[in-house]
Amino acid sequence: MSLAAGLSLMGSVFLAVWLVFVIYSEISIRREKEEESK
Amino acid sequence: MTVKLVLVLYMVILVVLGILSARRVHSEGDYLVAGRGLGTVLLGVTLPATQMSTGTAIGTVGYIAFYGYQYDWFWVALWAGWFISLVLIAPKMWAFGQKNGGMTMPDVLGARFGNALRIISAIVILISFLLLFSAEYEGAATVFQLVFGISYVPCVLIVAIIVLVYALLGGLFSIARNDLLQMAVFIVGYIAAACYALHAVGGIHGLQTRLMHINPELLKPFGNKLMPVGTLVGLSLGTMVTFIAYPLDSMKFFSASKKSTLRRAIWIGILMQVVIGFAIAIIGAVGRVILPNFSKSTMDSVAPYIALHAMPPVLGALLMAAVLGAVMAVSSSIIMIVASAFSHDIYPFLPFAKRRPQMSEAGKLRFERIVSLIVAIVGVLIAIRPLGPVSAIVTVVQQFMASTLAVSMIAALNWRRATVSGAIASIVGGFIGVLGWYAMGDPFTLSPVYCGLLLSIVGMLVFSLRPSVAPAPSITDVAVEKTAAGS
Repeated sequence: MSLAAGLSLMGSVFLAVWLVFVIYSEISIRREKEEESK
Repeated sequence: MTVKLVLVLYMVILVVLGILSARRVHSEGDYLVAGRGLGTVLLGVTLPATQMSTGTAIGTVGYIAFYGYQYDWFWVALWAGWFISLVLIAPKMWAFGQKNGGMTMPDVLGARFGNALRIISAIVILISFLLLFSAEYEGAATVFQLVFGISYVPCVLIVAIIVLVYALLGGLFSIARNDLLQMAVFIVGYIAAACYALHAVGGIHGLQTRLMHINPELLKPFGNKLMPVGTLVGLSLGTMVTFIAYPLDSMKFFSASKKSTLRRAIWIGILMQVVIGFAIAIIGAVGRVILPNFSKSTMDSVAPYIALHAMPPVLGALLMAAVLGAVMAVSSSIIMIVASAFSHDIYPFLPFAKRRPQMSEAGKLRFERIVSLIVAIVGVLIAIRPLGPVSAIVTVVQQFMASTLAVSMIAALNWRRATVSGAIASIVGGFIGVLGWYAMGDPFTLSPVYCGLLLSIVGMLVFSLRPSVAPAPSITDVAVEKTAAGS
C-alpha cells in the first residue's frame, strides 16, 4: 500500500470515528430532551 | 530570536490570564470544578488539552519517526476509550456531581464502595500523576534548553513557577481559559508545521521515496518489523483503557454546566484530536527523513529539532509554543488532581483530621492552594533527576492507571452486583498484574496491561459474585435515576 493510500485510510477512519461521537451524542441529547418533555 | 520572543510573550499571556481568573475563585468548587459552570467551548478545549500531553506533542512524534506512521493508529484505540467513557462514565459522573456534590473520581468510588476505596484510588492517582508530572517537566525542559540554551534545572523551575502561578490563582477557571489559547496554538502550530514539512520533502510522493530509501518498513500501514501488530495493539489497549476513566479528564466532567454541554464538549475535543493526530503522523514521518539515523534514546528531541532546524522561525516558534502549551496544560491539571487527591480525598478521612472542626469554604480553598504549592515543589524535586524518555514514563503510568481504576469506575457506575471486596481486588489485582509482568521482563513481548487488566476484571468478578457477599449500595440509583440530572 502506498503512503498516500495508507494516510487516506487513516484519515477516513479518524473522521468516521469522530462522526460516531457526534451522532451518538446528538441522539442521546435529543432522547433526553424528549424524556424531559413527557 | 523570533522563537524566544514568541515563547516569552506566550508565557506572559498565560500568567496574565491566570491572574484575571483569580477573582472568580471563592470556594473549593470554584477552584476544582470551575463552579460547575463551564460551557461547551471551554470544556471542549480543556478536555483534549488535558489529555494531549508531552507524550503527544513530543513523544508521539518521536515514536512515529522511529516506528513508522502506523503508530498513529493508537489514536483510534484512545478514542474507543473516550467513547466507552461517553457511554458508561461521563454523563453518570456528571449526574453524581450534580446530586451529591462530587468533584473527583475518588468521590465516586468512595460513595459506592466506601472510604477505603476512596483513599486507595486517591493514592493511586497521587503516585501516578506525580510520576507523570516529572515527564511533563522533562518535556518542557527539553523545549527550554533548546530555545534558550539554559541548563535543565532552571528550565524545570521556570515552567513550574509559571504553571503554579496560573493554576494556583485561578484554579480550573484559569486552566480552562489558558487551555483555549493552548489548543488554538497547538492546532495552528501542528497543522502549519505538517503542511510545511510535507512541502519541504516534496509532498507525499517525495516523503514515500525518502522513507523507502531509509527503511521500507516505515511505509507499512499496520504492523511492521519495528513494531509488530501485537505490540501496537498492546500499547493501544493500554491507552484505550486509560482514557475510559482518566482522572484528569473525569474531574472536568463535573465542571459542565449541563449534561448536553458535556456530551458536545467530548465530540468537540475528539475533533481537535483527529486534526492534531493526523498532523502528527505527517510531522513524525517527515522527522525521520530529516533525522534518518536518530536513536531510540533521543526520540524526544525529534519534534523540537524539526521546529528549530527545519522550519521558518515563525512556524518553528508556533510549534515550540504548541509543545510548551501541551506541557503547561497538562501540568496545571496534574497540580489540581494531585492536590485534590490529597486535600479532598485523603486528608479529611485521616483520623486526626476527622477530630478537627470542619473547614469553612474559604479554609478549604486555602488548604487546596497550599497543597497545590507543595505538589508543584514535589514535582520539581522528582523532575530534577529525569526518570527516562517522556514517552516511556507516560506509557508506564498509563499501564498502571488503566489496570487499576477503569474496571472499578465502570463497575461503580454501571454494575449493581459490584461489591467493596470486588473493587479492592480489582485495583490491587490490576496493580500486581502490571508490576509482576514488568518484573518478569514482559514475557512473550506482550504489554503488561494485558495481565493487569485481566487480573483487575477477574478480581472484580470473582469477589463480587461470591454468594455470601452483599453488593455495595448502588450509586446509579442515587446519582442517575433519582436525580434531576437529566432535567
